[in-house]
Amino acid sequence: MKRREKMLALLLVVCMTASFIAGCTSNNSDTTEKKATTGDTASAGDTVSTGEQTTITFGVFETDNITAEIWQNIIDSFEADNPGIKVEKVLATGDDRAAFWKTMLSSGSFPDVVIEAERLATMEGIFTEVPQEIQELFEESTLCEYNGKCITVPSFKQYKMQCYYNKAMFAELGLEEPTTWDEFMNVCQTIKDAGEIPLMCGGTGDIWATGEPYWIAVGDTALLAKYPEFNKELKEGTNTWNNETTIAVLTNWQDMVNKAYYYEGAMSLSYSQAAEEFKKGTAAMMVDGSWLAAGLDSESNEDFGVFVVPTMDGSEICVADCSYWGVSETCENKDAAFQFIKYVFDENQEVYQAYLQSDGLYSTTKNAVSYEQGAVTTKFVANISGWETVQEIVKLPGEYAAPSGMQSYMDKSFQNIFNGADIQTEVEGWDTEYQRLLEAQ
Amino acid sequence: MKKNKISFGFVVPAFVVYTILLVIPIFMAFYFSFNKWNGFNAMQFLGLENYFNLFRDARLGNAVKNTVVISVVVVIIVNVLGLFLAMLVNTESAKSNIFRIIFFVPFVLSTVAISFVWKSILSYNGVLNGILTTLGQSELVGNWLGKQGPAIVCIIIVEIWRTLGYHMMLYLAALQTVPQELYEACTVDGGNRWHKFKSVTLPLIIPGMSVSFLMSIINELRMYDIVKIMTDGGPGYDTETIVYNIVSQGFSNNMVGYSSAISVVLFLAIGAISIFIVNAMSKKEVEM
Amino acid sequence: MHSMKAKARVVNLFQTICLLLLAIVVILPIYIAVANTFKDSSIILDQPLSLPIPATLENVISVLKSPNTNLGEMYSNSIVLMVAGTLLTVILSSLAAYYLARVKTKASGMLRIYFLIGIMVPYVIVYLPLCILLRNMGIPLGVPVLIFVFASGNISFATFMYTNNIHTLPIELEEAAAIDGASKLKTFWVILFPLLRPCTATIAIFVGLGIWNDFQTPLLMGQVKTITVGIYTAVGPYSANWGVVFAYVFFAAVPVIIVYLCAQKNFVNGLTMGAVKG
Repeated sequence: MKRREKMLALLLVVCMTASFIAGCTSNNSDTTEKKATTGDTASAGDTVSTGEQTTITFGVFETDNITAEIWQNIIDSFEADNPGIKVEKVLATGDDRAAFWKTMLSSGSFPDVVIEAERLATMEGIFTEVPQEIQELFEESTLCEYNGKCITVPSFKQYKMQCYYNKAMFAELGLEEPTTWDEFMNVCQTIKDAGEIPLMCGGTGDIWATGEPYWIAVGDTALLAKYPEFNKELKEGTNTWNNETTIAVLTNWQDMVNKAYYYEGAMSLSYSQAAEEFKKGTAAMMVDGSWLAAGLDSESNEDFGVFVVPTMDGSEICVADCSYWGVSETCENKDAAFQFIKYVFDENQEVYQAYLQSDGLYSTTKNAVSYEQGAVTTKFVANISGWETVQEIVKLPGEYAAPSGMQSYMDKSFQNIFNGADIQTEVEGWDTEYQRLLEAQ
Repeated sequence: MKKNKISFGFVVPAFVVYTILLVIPIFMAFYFSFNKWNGFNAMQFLGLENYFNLFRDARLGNAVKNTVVISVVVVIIVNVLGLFLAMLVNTESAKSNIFRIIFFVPFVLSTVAISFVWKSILSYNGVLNGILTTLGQSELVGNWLGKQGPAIVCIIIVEIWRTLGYHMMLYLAALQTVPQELYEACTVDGGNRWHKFKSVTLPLIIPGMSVSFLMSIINELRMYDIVKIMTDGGPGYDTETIVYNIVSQGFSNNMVGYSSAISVVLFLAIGAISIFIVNAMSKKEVEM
Repeated sequence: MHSMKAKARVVNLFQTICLLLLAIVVILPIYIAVANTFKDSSIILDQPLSLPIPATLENVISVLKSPNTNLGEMYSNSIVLMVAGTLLTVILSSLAAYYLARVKTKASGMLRIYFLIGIMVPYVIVYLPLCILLRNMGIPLGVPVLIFVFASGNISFATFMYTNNIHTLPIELEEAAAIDGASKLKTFWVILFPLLRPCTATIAIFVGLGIWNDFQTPLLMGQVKTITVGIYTAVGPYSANWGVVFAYVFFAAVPVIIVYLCAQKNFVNGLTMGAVKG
């Protein structure tokens, strides 16, 4: 009996130690090993397709606009023009993308090509360096580096928030598009006094939809107008979130909520629901991105107009973000992966155009790709013609990128503020969290 | 006589699967908790720093508070109501049978399905508000999922709805172990319903009760699915539970070491509570 | 005598009303999901409680045609995982329980406690480490490994139940078999296992149900498309369209309800069995 026990204990210990050693220390050696082997295959020269099938996996997510059809179109076209390379789509769910990509990373099945790579690019060793020839396909201003290396390609530029409005409701109340902040507040008040609901936003399930629209339109612009190097200053510690501008912007917002300018039930709506409600006329206005314009145009919906949310200090500055694709370091067929990228962004303009058009996006390639824009999108672009564009503070890629987790922290904080939390405390929390997350990276 | 021992080999398959796929990952998580790690790059040894930090983490404290509130309320209601219902359906009639079947249905449904359905009911422009408006009670229309207090109440209601049938069944089983003669003896002694309950039913269902309490506590402390889908921890952090916090810190914030530390503490807490309850209940059993 | 009977009847009526009200509350959400699946999305919010007349199959068809939703694949994944996972759990646990229940040594006592730990574990702690471990063992994520993962998570509960149950079985049967010269394995399968059938039924039901409804594990470990993962993934873009949401819920929930209604006797008995022995 005693021997049994001893055997048992021994078995247990051996198993555990073996797994520890296997499980924990191989992370580092893994990445360096992979680097060595891919170096070899790359230098073996461009191999002509031998008729063998290579498969690359393509990690994506879908939205109301960027549907499964769009991706399938891209994949099918590519496969048709590139026999011998198959592309397998890997779909991540909306909210849990982070969790999903990370378990895939841990299990070694991270997709070869992923969209929205900027979310993961701050972690070293995930993405592989982009070959020079691919980099040259893109506008210089859209490229970025992480730790001195260019590891992502810019897939599109997207203009962010402006204020859409229900033309009929405006006409009824004799309102015109506001051009100053005071006029904007007047518009809200007039609508409210008439018994209608001025503004719509989202809440549960799409936490970004509560505060981000307003913050991006008013907060990011105000901060970056005043401190053009805000990201850098934040990271180096010469500036904090907690400053006059931030507090002023948020106080205004909370004011608006308290004056009941927002739809009462907004917090329980998902983004899609909020957009639907807006289109049904439940509220007169909704601050949203350029994708709503694309959506409206695709439905040939002429009932809605759009104006820029007036900045508090009147400066002509608006937000446009770039999104990126990346090729993972663990990809076994990097050539095929970059070929895919080259195809989408350079060789087949139609496919890129369809992609851009679906969501109201703009090309980042040197060979600009444009498409016929519907009425709303045209107005959207005209509104900011000639304006200075900046990137969202939280989404700035590259060296001064905000740490992972900051975005969702701020989103939740916005919800707290929406529900009446003390702004000073909340913003102090932003700084504390920023530091905490930065240290954890 | 040849002694044919049950060989150790009977246990080995289960042991191997269990150890490799469950126990070792737990130990790994335990190991992670002593490090700073983003899940991908090199680890940095931190000793007990994660543990110190988690006790000072206000957001985690809020999650603990939410979880405890939800757990306590759900556990009490579900056990009391479960026992009450069990007593009501503790007859051998077709009617009772039908009720038993009906009450148990919510428990077999997936939490995903449940969350979506209840979300449709409790949304601002959902079924509940729709009914209230139709009944002319539009002042009562509320933002059930969008404000802190109502949101937690909604989560509690959905959890109770989901698990009530299960606990009813557990109590039913316990009730059916009570010999009928004891009740009759009590009647003869002049006892009324309350006496019967207190002196006959209650003492004898203590084992069943402890199972029911234990299961409900363990399950509520680990709540995640419903919160994630119905309110996503919101509004803000108002309905965030401990497991939600663990997932969010680990996956969104890239703080795998830290979130592992939280899960280890949760695990130990559940273990301690379980042992406490089992002990307390068995002592009660001895007393009574 | 008369008044006592009347009193009893009033109490009875009161009880029935209580039960009825509660039953309605319990059934209502399910009714809402099922009825609204067959209503046009636009009228769902206006008349949530009405019967679906006229009924429309629009929502159901939309689900069937949705490009990301392959119902056949999802059902098959769910079924495979459930059946194989349950089978594996039952076999491994019953064998282990035989040892744990019949062999009275310190080692077996320690093993009983060892297996019990799993019940209390918040499973979230395991996801990342498990993924890493599997990668280092060279095992890709997918349905096969998921079967073992599910088994590992359920062994605790199953061994606990089986061990308790075997304790209550008379040992004479096994001793008789031993005298007849049967091997322990044979004794177990031929004599003991059939006697454990009610317990096996209980375990099969709870483990099977747990696996079918689990959405985190298949989602995070390889995005295996089970039916619950499927509706979770699919509803995102359509969350404004309640009709489609309900249709998805319908597909996920109705099969389970049907199976439950058919087998509910087993559910009840199993639960009774489990709690009493527990």
